Amino acid sequence: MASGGFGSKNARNTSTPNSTSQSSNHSQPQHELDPTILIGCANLLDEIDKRMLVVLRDGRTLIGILRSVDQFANLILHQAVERIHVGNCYGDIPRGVFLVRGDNVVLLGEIDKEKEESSNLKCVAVDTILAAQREEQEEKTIKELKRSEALKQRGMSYLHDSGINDEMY
Amino acid sequence: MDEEEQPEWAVVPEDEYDALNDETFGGTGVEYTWEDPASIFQDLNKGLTDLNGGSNGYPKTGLPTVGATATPDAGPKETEYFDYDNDNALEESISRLVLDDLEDTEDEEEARKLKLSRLGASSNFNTYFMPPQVASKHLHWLVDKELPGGSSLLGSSVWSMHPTTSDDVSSTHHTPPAPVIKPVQPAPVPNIPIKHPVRTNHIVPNNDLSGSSVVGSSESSISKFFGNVPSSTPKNLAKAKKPVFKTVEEIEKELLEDGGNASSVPSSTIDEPSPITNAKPKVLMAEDLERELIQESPMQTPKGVDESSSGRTPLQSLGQFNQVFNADSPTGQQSQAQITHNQQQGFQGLPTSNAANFGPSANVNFNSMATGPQGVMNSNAANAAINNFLLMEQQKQLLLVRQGLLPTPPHHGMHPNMLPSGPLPPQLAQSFHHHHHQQQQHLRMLQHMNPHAMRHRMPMMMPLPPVIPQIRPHVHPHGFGPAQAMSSGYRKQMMKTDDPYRGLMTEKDKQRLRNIQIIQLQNDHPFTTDYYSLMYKVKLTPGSGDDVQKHQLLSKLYPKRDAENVQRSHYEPARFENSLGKLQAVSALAPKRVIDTFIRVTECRNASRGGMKAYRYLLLEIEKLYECLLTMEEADIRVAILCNADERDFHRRSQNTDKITKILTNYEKLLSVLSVTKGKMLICRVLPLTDATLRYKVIGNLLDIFPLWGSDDMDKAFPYLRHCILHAEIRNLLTLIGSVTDNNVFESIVMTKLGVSLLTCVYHQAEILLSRCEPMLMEDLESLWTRKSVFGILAVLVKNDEMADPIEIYPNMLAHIRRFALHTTDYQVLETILQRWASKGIPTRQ
Repeated sequence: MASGGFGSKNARNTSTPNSTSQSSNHSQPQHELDPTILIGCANLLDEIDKRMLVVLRDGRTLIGILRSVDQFANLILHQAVERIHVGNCYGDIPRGVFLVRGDNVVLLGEIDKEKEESSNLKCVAVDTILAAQREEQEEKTIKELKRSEALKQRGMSYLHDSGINDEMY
Repeated sequence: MDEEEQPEWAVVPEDEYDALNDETFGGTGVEYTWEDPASIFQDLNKGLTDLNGGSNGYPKTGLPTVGATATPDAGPKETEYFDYDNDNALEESISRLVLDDLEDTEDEEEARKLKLSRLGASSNFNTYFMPPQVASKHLHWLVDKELPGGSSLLGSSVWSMHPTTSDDVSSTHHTPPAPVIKPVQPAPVPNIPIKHPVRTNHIVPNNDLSGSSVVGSSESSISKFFGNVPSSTPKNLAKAKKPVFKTVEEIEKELLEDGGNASSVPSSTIDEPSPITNAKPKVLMAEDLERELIQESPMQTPKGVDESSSGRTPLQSLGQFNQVFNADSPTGQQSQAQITHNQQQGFQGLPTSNAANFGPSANVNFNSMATGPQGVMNSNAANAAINNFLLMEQQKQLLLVRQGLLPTPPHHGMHPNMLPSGPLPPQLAQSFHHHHHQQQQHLRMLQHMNPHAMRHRMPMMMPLPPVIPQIRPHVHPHGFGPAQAMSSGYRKQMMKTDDPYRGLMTEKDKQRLRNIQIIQLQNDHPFTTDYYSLMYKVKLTPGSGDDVQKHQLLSKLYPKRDAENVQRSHYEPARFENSLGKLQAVSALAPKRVIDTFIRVTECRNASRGGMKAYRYLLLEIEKLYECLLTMEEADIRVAILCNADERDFHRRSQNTDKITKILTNYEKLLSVLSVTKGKMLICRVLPLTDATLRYKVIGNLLDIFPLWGSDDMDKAFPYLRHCILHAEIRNLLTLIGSVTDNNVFESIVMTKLGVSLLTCVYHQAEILLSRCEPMLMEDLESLWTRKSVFGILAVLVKNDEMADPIEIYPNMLAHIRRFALHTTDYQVLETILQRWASKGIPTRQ
């Protein structure tokens, strides 16, 4: 479920206790209804001090060490980097400490170091990846324009967001 | 009085006083440029020679009458001078500054001298400096009076004085007395009682010829400089030196340096026995001093101490060190207290010191310096000294940790440098370990204490120690917790980790988060609010289906409500009155809401128009009715089975029943609700909970409009209707069947599974009731069946083979048909059908 092809472990959805989602881990042994153990709920406390990959609603990918959370799933990411993927390459922009509001998180998952090291992705410089991203965006824009033009010729209207809505999800 | 005859030192009358031009500095002040003092004083020698015969005053124009820049024609007679009303005006004004107890002195000269001496000019200040404007103003002082020192009235002059050496110590330059606060320390001059290193910014006569500018080296120079000088110019005025211009910082520097030099000069006239106050304090770190004490033997005394005294023991040196050390610091006080605490008996020789320096906490009991072992260190004393130093260092570290300057000390305690070089004697090691253990305990206690308890324990003024993140291992739910945490291997692993920011979120924070989640999970109506999670837990629970486990299951569905739970559900965060802004106390029970919203359902009066809106409203209404339904079910179960109902359940039950009744009795409303699948189920589920009279009336209506709602997907509603029918009485059945207005409805009823099932169930129940009812009711029922010609319709359907299969087979149905069947053929057909149903595997209800 994590983006970028990383071997992220168990990218569980964040869920609050009041949500009606089922637990993703059915293999847990059956316990009594111990109030200290939250059955059926994914708990971010287990991910503290671990290197996590976080996908935000605007499409950004952050990687950092999760230092603190709260009841709204607001996250404190330490030594955070913003990873930009273009094709087979990626670039990291160091961002320092991030405080992410909970409702902007799409998903998060722990990063497996071994799998990260053995991945086929190539790390490039920030300038390079930003340039590549720009090119990719331009290509996308051109493609969208062509599509809308083609649909217009066929009598259909196609509205392209073109950045009106910053949210991808 | 003519201007020419007026002496230049005459005071300007007040009317003509020009404050802007600042007559104090002489001249108009505007003309004078401070940038040219050097040029002015360059030819001072020449000017001074003219002083005697020169003018009595400084020209008003400020132009020098002497020197290279002097106007050639400027002469005393040709220049303007200040007008003075009173010959002795300045003298009188100065005399007002001093004590006038010498007014009775006959000899004015002596009186004047005495006054000046009182003003602090008693020090043999042989140097002075005065800016030209001042000099011109107070020239008569310079000229007429013998002043051993002091300065002019310009006590607050910006000019800083630097004492310089003078050839003539007893120079009697006529400088006016000044309100000298502290005398300037002169150059190293023998037999000068040096009290304190001082700084001053007052004007001091400067006799130094080495200065960049001097007042004058001779009378003639001054007279030349200042113009006309009265004839009473003293001779020694000629020996006046050039003033030295120096800034305050430079003078301070020199004074400090001189102070250092002065301290090294042995002097028998030192009044105070403690040389430290005169010496630059030598600050040693405890580590350095300890190193010295341990490495050097016999002990060397710190510098600046009178070495004539007997050799010192470590504690003596320690006492001396503490004198040198900043005694005002808490470490200093602590160390002193520690020394007092650890001082061994029979040890003497601590130096005397000012007890006030060590604070009230240390009851220092020092003896004189005279006694004490000499030379070689006593072993016990050495051990005690080492112990004390080590403890002192620990105390210092503890205080630094408290103040947040140091991180938590490592687990192994003392810094390796602090450990003595050699092996510790056993007694010392034991005491050291004991002290170390105590302090570690104390530190741990401080770390683990919450800030509130900490505040109560510590003094008010002492800052609280920083909140040190507790590095506790995460307790794994699968039981890896305490045992693993306490193992040394795990601890080593934790210490070896290269993540210094681990543990920022303390266990307390984590537990608070868990508590919030747990509290949110715990609710009084999990069946209503958290159905899926609850059912998941129920499914996980193993159960064979016996009554006890069923009871347990129901208990899980409807947990017992405590008083705490009741209070928790109604908890509201504390509100602060008379406060600006919205203050909210956040706790685990009421954590801050992200969005304060609630869903409002407005009543839509015009449900007919706006199909989408009406449909949405209908759906919302069905949801609301579902909540009523669940509440009613819970109340009934609590009352009947769990026996843990309370008044709130009854109240809610009655409220919800009224709401449901309104819906059921409104035909249009009922129809609209039945148009939604969820509404159909709602009605069927709520019927068993309603009043009997209303219930069967509604069922009859349902049968009447069966084609509108009855469909094959409504099989799941059958159990509820079956329950109602099987608990019906004869009259209820009569009501039920009688509600059917159109007999053709039965055709649509028997064509659906639900309908056939309902009909067969009705026959079955009717047969049961007839076997126990009165004969009169049997006739009513018979007539009713005849009127409705139910069996005729059945027969037709059987022939056409359009009858649907029921959900269950009721055995009494055939008997009931046999009772009322008019034709035996119809009965035979129905019998065949029943056999066919049985062969299909349709269960027969017992």
